Amino acid sequence: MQALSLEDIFLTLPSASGPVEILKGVDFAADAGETVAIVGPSGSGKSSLISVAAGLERATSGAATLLGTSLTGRSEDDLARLRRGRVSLVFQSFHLLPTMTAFDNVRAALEIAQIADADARARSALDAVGLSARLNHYPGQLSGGEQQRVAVARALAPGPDIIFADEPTGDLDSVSSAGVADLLFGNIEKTGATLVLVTHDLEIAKRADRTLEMRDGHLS
Amino acid sequence: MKSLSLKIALRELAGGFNGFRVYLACLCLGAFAIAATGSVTTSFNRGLAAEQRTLLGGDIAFTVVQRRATPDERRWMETRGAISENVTLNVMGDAGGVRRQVDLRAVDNAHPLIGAPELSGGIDTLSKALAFQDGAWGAAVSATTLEQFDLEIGDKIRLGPVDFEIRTRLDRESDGLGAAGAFGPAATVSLGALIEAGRLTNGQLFRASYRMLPASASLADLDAIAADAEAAWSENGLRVRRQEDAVDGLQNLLAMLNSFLSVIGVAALVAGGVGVAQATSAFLSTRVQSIAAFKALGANIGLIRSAYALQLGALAALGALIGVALGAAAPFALFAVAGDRIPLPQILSLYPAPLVQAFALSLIAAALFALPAFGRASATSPAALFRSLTEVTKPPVPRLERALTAVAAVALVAIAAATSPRPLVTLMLLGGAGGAYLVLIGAAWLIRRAARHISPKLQGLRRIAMANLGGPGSLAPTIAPALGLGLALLTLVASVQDNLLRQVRETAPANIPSLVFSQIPGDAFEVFDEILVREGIDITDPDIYRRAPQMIGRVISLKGKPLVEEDVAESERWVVDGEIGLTYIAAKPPVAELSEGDWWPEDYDGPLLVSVEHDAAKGLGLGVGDAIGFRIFGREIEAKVASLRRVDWGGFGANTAFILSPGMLDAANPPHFAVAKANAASERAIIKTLGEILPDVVVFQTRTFLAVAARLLGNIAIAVNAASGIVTAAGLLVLIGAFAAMTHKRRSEAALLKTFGASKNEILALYASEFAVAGAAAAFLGGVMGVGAAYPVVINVFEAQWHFPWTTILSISAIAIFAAAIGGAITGAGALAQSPAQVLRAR
Ligand SMILES: Nc1ncnc2c1ncn2[C@@H]1O[C@H](COP(=O)(O)OP(=O)(O)O)[C@@H](O)[C@H]1O
Ligand SMILES: [Mg+2]
Repeated sequence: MQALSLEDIFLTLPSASGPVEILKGVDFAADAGETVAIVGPSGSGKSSLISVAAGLERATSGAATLLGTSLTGRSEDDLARLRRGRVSLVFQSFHLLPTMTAFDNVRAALEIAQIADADARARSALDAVGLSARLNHYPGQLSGGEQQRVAVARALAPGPDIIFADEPTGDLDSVSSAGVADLLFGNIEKTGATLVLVTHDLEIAKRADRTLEMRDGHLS
Repeated sequence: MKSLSLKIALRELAGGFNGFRVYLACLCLGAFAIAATGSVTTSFNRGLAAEQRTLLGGDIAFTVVQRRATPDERRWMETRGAISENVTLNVMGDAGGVRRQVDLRAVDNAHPLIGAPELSGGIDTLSKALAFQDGAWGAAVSATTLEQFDLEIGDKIRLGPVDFEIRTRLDRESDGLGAAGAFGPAATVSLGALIEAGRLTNGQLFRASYRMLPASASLADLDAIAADAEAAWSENGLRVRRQEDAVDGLQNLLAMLNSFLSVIGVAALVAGGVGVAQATSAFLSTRVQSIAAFKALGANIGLIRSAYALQLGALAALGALIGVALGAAAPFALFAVAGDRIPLPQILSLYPAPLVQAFALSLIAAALFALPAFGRASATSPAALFRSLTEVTKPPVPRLERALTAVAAVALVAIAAATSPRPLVTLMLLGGAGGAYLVLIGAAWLIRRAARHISPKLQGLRRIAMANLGGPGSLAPTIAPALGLGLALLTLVASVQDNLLRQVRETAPANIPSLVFSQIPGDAFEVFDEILVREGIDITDPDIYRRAPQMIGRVISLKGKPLVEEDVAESERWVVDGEIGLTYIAAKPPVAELSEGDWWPEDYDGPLLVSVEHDAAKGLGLGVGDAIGFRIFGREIEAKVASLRRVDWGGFGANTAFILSPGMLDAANPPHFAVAKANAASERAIIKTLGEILPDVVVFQTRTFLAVAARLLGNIAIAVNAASGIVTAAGLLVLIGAFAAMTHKRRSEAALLKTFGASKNEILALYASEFAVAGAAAAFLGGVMGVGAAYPVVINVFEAQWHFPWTTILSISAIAIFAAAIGGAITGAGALAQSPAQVLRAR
């Protein structure tokens, strides 16, 4: 079964200097349980691709299907509901809520996705990323590597069917990077989720089942 | 160095005012409030000062009560200048079956010495209109008289003992403010008519005033005339009135109003100050990286300070200037809109003093609120280049800025008090506002702690809402003080207004007499009582009917020493600064509550004793056993204080400051006054019967006075409400600023929540509830403090009954919470407007 399929996706966004064509006919599919790495120069459209695939942004044209549901013509709320507990994202800049502890960050995401047993799940997810001693720390009190591990725990905790990770190690040193990559690949192996991973780190890309290259809006 | 900092400042200013709209608006609003109240009251004050001679009706004037000037006095005056005599009294008007009290003024042919009355509809010269002609005296009557008696020019009206023919309508008196007869029917007639009828003989109730235009009216000459008069005639009870006395009361009222409104203006600056602080730190946080970069390049803290001080100072000056300019225009706008409804004379002009005051106060307020954030930013370590600046790593405020903040706070209070016409009142009000502000800041801290405490116990979005309130960037420290101060003020004003209106509309009509009778002849009590009994009044019930002698007197000495008016507490000055009503009673009135001393025996006939109202006694420094001297109808009498007594001024009965013992004064056989409660039908019957049997008794129907009081109250309330509305507006501005400062952060939060699967409505509800909780806290505290401040004002200042203004408070709170929730939803909608992809990508 396919976890994700994109067919002939175009994305054009308005900008100050006229419309910019960002994705220029992207075809892409990922099977359930597959791990795919996407590499490519900065500005080539990798993040845009993930946005469209995760239903955060509507393609200008083309057909996108996520977890068996066509994304075309769905309202933002429909898409949000579709993501609940089944789709997770990890960002380069962590995006933790600064007003909540590590534990609450993970817990809140589970609660919003309406997943039962949020406390136990959050605890074990943080345990799994090696942060059981940091449960009550605020993001400001954590190092970058630790913050990203909280973000990974938050992404893994619901037991999603697919995880999109956009340069999750881009802001981290090499030791932390390796740790975060280990966590992602290690857990995916256990749960059988699909992983779409954007990275500049070829070492990390190598760990994926296959690697694709994005170049000027085209994926190859 | 200097020019470099200027260059940096200019370059940044050229970047536009975007982040500074709220900063500018907050300062502008505060400056406007202060400049506007100052300019408006100054233009009234100057107007009054310019009119004081006209309002006095001469360069100097002399008054006596219950008599006219003696031939000696009159000769003394005439040798010094031109004289015009004026008598004022209350009489009953009677025409076409209507009988009601009329304010009567009788003038001689020389009246007016200054100016001219406005007449219309008939003879247009006052002396001609009033003259005896075709067998009748003439009268000039106010529009209210024509209306209430349903008369036209040419009709007849009986005023007191004389039948008059109405010859003209009196629209404005030469020496009056606003329309003639605005508070009730008024008429002007010829002195000759009343003299002929014998109504102005010694001992009757009236006041005679003699206005003078001396040959030379230089200040020195007037001072000399006043001194001569004091020396020659003060023993006789003749009082000198100077021009400033004619406007004294009004100017005092204006000064009080000005103090109060200026403090509200400062409160607007303080409420807006939160916005200034927030805008400053928001702006400087965007400059943290460049400050760090400047430092890394070798710039010292002094350069950074002067660059940003120049910039913030220039913007503060701009905001204040705009406010001051609008404030300077306020009097012009006010009179363009409502000029004909304001009876005070005004001189429209640019008055620099209030404008300078407003400008200075606004700049100081800007310094006060911007300095801490400013200090923090300039203390930024160059290391900030290497990490993002979170709340935790914010540097402390440097000592220089901390000291300057304290100096600014002191300067703000000092300038506000020093420029106030009532510094003490201003200091007290500022103290109250400052205390409220501190309470609100403390409350914000508590809200944050509580929210942080509660947040882990909640679920999902509610947890996020509370975590936001509890965490860095919390709304509480902005909303609570900014909105709370305005809401406290609104609640205070609304509660006081509510209670006073209730007093006037409900409490007073139920408790005070509906009829007050004056000038019941000393030999006709029995006849009078009989009339009331016949109309169904139970004259034995002291809650329904009371009658006592009616005398007028003045306090002339305290404890054996001549009275010095200035030594008497201001709130009780009214007791001594002119003639007041006196009475003597044998038996203690049942409602009188003695706080000290004893009442005299009912058959007491010894040396004169007096029972003094409690507060008046304290104001005069009198205790039981002290002596107080009165001049009553030309006689100087000393009485010993026998008791102090509490009076319910809003209640029923003999509410006079002094009640004397009987016996000694009986011989004078003075007229009596009486109060009675009656229904509308018996009121009419009593007034009619009195007209046939005792036509000289003047009857006041209190209902009409209460209606006038309610109207006046409403007018003053408009000004005060408008001013407190400005503080709330400042609070709202701050709120808007808070929203604006937050959209960036909120945007990424909302986008993130969407990736978790939260729907739009859930996110809107999250922000609405977060803001509503902060708004509710502000409303609750503001309400509590407003009511807390209103209670003593209602009880002690207005001596009215307290009634908890539930509806007012609940509606103010509901509106505040609703507005905050709407603000939250708008912020949320703004945050949701962008697609999450954009937000999460853009860092
Ligand atoms: N909101 C936007 N409007 C217009 N152009 C955008 C917007 N966001 C990104 N872009 C442009 O789209 C291109 C692709 O961006 P992105 O998908 O972030 O690339 P990558 O992740 O590969 O670095 C870039 O040239 C970027 O400038
Ligand atoms: Mg990218």
